[in-house]
Amino acid sequence: MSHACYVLGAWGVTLASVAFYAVTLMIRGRRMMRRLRDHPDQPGR
Amino acid sequence: MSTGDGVAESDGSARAAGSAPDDEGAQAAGSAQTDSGFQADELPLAPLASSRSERSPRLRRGVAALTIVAVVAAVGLLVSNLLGDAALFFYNADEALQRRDDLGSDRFRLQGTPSDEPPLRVFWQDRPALAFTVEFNSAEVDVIHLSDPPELFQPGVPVVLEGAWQNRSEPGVPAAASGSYFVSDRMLVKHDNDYRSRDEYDERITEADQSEAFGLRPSGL
Amino acid sequence: MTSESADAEVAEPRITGYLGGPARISTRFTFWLGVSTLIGFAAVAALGLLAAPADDVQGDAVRIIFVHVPSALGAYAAFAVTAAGSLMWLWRRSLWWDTAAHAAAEVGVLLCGLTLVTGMLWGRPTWGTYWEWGDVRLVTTLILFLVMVGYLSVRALGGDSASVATRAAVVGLIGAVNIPIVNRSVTWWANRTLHQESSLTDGKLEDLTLFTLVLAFVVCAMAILWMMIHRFRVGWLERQISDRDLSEALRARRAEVRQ
Repeated sequence: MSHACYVLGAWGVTLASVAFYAVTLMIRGRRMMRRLRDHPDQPGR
Repeated sequence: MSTGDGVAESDGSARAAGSAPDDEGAQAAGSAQTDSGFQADELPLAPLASSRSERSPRLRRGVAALTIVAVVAAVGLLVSNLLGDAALFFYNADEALQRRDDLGSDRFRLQGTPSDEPPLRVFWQDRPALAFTVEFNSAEVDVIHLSDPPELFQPGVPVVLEGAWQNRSEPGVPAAASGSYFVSDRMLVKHDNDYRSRDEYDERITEADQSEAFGLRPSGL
Repeated sequence: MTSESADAEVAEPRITGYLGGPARISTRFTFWLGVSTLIGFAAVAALGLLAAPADDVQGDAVRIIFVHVPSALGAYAAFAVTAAGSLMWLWRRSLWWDTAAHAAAEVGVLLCGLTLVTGMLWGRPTWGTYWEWGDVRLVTTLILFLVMVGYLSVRALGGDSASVATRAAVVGLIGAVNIPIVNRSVTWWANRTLHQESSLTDGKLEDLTLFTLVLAFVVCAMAILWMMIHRFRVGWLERQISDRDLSEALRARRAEVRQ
């Protein structure tokens, strides 16, 4: 009567999606910082 | 998670390519009103203002609009379903007994706790079945269950059964008392919120000398 | 707000921070918060998957509650922050709170989705079904999830930031109305759901199980805090960039007009 697949599935989904979201947040933050810093004073036209 | 990301994440990688033509368009429109003086409100700044969004703002807005329509439709459907009769998930065994005449042969769900008597394997209309009793509020209902029970089915753990009342005239049904019995073909286990460890449970089982309670005892049929 | 600044001399685009500090995506605080959250997850996993006892009836499936229940409470908390932020926007026109509301909604949708998925994975071995459409607890939770997905979609629709914030705030408050309904549904409509009532408030958990669950709450709260701070920074920086782009465009346009 092992429910290991359900247990590991639930834990795996939770940890994986939280980790994925955390990584996307860091990437998004870095990208925003880069855009703030590297932006030329005048919009390139 | 993916929904949140998909809706709100911005991806600037293709932004430069996407926004360059917009800027030119804005420039052209802006130079047309050179004589009329500078009015901030009339400036076609929309493409610039939304340039923080991803590669295609139009695509993103389309997806968002579709999502909103789908969400509104789904929520409406779910709410109307909940408010309708379908929402009455189950009758407890005592209510089901009181309403037996009203319910007739309608399908409904019945909740009760299987009694300590182990279920009997029987045949009901030539189909293999389990016969057992469920109780709720000291009302007892005899049940014939026609499919495999969930693995957690056991005495003392409440179940929700889907089926209908039957008159008690069929052969092969044990313990024929008066009234009806309930024939179900679907069983859900309604676990209560009392958590106990296996060890503690084993101790109680041993004390009560009910080590056979989990097994299904074959009947003479 | 930006249109007003257009007639005045447009200032040099300036990066402003929030809470008085400079704009950045990582601080020493969030770094150590992240590290302790990772350690906390490891501890909860060790306790929840190995040390905590199996349940007499559910068996090992009980271990799912250590991710399911914190996700659910975390989703409630995040959506409550969204509601508070929505109110503060409508009342005080606070951009800070609007950004916080957006950040919390995104985190909350993640957690609410996880609540639904882990609940289904618990329901199959325990109840014998992944999902029941007539079940009040399950369906109200799904409605809460959908409304908050709608919140994010309304924000993604775009437009000027004030009307986006106002529209979103209304949806956020509608979503918040659902929180007590979802939470109390197991008590209000006891015979309309398979879901058990709260084991925690009924004091029906054993010591180690209870300890693990409480630890999971703490770690989950830390993870939520980390995610909300980072998502807030992203939203705040997005706003800075969009304001700067706008004022740069105004300056450029103005220079053009003067030629």
